[in-house]
Amino acid sequence: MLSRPQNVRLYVIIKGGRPMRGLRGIVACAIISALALAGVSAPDASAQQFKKAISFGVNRAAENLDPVTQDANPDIWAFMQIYQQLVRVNVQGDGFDPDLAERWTASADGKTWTFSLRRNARFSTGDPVKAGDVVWSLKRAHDVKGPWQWALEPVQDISARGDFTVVITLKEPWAPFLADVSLFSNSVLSEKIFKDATQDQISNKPVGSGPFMLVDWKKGEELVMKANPYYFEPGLPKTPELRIRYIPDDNARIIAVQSGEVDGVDYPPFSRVAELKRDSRLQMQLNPSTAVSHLTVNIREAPLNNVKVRQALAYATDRYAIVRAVCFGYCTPATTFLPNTTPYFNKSSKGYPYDVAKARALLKESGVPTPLPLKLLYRSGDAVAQPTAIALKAMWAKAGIDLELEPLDRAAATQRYRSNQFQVYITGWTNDIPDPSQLGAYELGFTESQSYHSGYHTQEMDDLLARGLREMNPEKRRQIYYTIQDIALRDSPQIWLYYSPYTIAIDKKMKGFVQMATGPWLFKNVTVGE
Amino acid sequence: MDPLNYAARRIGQTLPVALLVTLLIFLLIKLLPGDPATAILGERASDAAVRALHQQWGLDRPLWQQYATYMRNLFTGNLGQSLRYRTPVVELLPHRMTVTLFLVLYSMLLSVLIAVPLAIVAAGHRDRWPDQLVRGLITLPLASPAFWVGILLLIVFALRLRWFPAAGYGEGVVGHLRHLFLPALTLSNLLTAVLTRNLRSSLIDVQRTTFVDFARAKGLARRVVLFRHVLRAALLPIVTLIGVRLSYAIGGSVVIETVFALPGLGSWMVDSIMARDYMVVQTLTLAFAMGVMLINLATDLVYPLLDPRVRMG
Repeated sequence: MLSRPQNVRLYVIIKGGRPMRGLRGIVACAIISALALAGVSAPDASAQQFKKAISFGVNRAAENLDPVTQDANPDIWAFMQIYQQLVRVNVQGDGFDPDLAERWTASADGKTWTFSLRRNARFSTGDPVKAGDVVWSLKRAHDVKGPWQWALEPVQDISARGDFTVVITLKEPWAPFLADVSLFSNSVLSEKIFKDATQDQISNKPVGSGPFMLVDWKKGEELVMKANPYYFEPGLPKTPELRIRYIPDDNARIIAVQSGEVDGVDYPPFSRVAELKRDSRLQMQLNPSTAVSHLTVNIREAPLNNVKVRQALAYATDRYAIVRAVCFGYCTPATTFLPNTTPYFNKSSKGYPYDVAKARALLKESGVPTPLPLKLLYRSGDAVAQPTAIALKAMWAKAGIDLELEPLDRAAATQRYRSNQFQVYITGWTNDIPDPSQLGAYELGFTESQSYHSGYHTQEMDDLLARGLREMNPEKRRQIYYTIQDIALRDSPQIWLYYSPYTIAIDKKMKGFVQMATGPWLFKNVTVGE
Repeated sequence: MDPLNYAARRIGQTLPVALLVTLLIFLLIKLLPGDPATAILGERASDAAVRALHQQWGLDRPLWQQYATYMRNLFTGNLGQSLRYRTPVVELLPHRMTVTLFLVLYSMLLSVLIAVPLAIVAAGHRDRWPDQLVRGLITLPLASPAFWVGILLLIVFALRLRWFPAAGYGEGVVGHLRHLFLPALTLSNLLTAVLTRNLRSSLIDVQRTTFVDFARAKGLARRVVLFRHVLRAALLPIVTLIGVRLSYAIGGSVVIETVFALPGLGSWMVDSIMARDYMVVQTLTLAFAMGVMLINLATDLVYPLLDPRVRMG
C-alpha cells in the first residue's frame, strides 16, 4: 500500500521518457521535477505573516496548562500569557504591581487581607472577573494536590464580599503572603466554565482574563494564542497573535531565528552566545534570572554524613573554572544558597573559595581514607550537567576524590534522586516568587522535600526558617535570612555552583519583549516591525 | 492465487507477530528505570502527587492486569491516553502520522528522481568520466550522518539562501512540499546512494542480456530500448530494495524530525520515551511494526505488476 504512489511516479518517468534527448535531457528533467515538487518560488511569501503574529521558538513543549498541578516552566510560562493573578511581581522582581486587584490592605494584626478587584477585567469569553471566580480559583489552588499548595498554606478562609472584594484570613501573620498570592498557581479561572469541568478540560482548554487566549494547541508542536479582546489594559496586547513553537534541537532553533522563521528563541546554549551576539540581525539577551545550579549531597550515609567531607568538596570545587567551562563565562560563581537576585541575598558572603590544600586537610581531618570513591548522578545528554560532571571529576581528583560519573536519562535520574539513591546529584533551582522563603523551605527544610532530598534536618535551621516566614519587620527578617545563608554554607547539604542568566535570542525587529527574573515572558507589549 | 487472497493470508500471518510486538514493547518499557508520574511531575513533586497519578493511571496494579487492560482496549479500538498531554492517543495520531508518511514518501520520490537519471548516466557511460563522477559523488551521502547533512542543508538553503523554511510542516500540499523539501532530501540521501549503485549494476547486467541484443537488432531507437526494455527489467531488484529501505527510512525519520522540528511520529516517539509516556510508546511501536509489515507486503504485491513472470504463492 505504501509503495504505490512512488510506483505510479516511476511509471510516469518510464512512459514520459520519450521526448528527452540524451544525458542533458535526463538531468534537466530530474532537476525540473525536483524543483516543481519542492514548489520553489522566490523568497518566502509567508514572511508577511510575521508582522501580524509573533512566533517564538522554545526548547521544551508545554504539556498541560492547569496552573495548580504543573511544575515545568514551559507549562507555567505558557499559561501565564492566559491567566491573571490578584497581584503580580514587578519586572525588576523586587515588589508587586496590581493585577486583578486594584488595591489591597492588610489588617493591623496581619491576619486579614482585603483585595479590591478592578471592575474592567474580563475573561476572554467576555464575562467580567468577579470575586466569586477568585474565591473559587484560590480554593481550588488550596485544595487540589499539587506542588504549590504551600503557597496558600497559612490561609484560614477565602471569601467574597460583594462582587468585587475578596477577603482572605490567615491562621497567623505571614511575611511572604503577598509574594505567595502572586504565584502562578493562584491564577484566576472562570468559575462558570470550570466549576463542573473535568481535569482534562482544565489542562487542555484554559480560559482566563490575561492578555492572550488559547485558540489552537497542537500538542508537542505549537500553541496558537490570539489577543484577548476583553483584556483590561487598553491597547494591549499589541500583537493580534502569538505562536509558541516547539523546536527541541538547539541548532535548529537558532537557525529558525537566524532565518526569520521565528522572531525569537529561548535557551540558545552558552556555547553559541558569542556567535549570536555578533549576528547583526539578532539581539542576544542574557536576562537576570533566579537560576542557581547546585550539587545535592545525600548526607544520610557515610562518608557524606561527615560535614568535613562536604566542606572539603565545597573547597575542592573551582567555581570560576566551571563558569568558564560550562557557561563560557556568562554565569556568576555562587556564594550562598540564594540566587543573587533574591531579596535578602547576602552580597557580602564570600562563599567557598577554591582551595585544594584546604580540601585535602579537611578530608584528612575527617578521617576518611583517600582516594575517596564517590558517585555523581546526572542527566545524560544535558548540555549543562555533562560538562559540569567532567569538570568536577578532574577538580575533585586533585583533592583526593575518585569521582565515578553516573549519567542516566532524565526520567531514570529523577527517579533515583527522588528515592534518595544517589551520593551527589547535579541539579538546580529557580525561584517562583520574589522571596527567599520558597527556596529556604525547599532546600533546607526537611518537611517539604527532605531538604532537596539531601536528608538535611536540624532544629536550628527549622527554627530559623519558621521565624523567617513569620517575621514582619524587614530588617529583622533580613538578619534571619543572612544567618540562614551562613549556616547553609557551614553545613553544606548542597554545594552551590553558579548563578546563570536566561539566554534569549530575538530578531532586532522585535520590540518590547521582557523576561521576568522569575522566568515568564511578557509578550503583551511586543511588536514586530517592518 | 489471486492478489486479494494472497494479501489476506499474509495479513493473517502478521497478526501473531504484531501481538508479540505488543507484549515485547509493553515489557521493555516497564523494564526501563524511571516512571511517567515522576517524569511528568518533575523533581519537585510530592510523593503523594506521584502516588495519586499512579493510582489514576492504574500503574499500581500488577503487570499482567495492566497488559490485559491494554490488550482489551486495543481490540476495542481504544489506544489509550497520552499521560503527558491528557489527550487520547487517537486524537494526536492522525496529524503526526500524516507528517511522517508525507516525509517518508516524499524522500523516496526524491531518491528515485535523483537516482534513476544518475544510474542511467553512469551505466550508459560505463567506466568513463560520467560514471566515475557519479560513483564518486554517491559515496559522499553514504559517509555523512543525517543530522549533520540536515544542519548543513539548513544553513545553506534556509539561512543563507532563504529558499526554504527552517522548521515546521507548512499548510496545504504546496506548503508541505516546500517545508518538507530539505528534510526529505536529507532523509533520501542514503537511499539515493544505494539506489544509484544498485540500479547502475542492474542496468549494466540487463544491457548484456540477449533480449536487449534482440531489441537493438530489431532496429529500435536507443532510447526506446533503454526505457521500454532495459530500465523496466532493471527496476525489479530495485523495488525490493526500496521496500527494505522504506522501513529504514521510518527509523531515520526520528533523527530528521528532531533536526527539522517536524511534528511527526519519530520526534513524538523520542519525546514520549523520555517522558515514559507509556501508551504513546506502545501505540507508536505497534504502528511502526505494522508499517514495516505492510511495506513488505506491498513490495511483494507490486512485484508481479512489474514482472508478469513473477507469481504470487
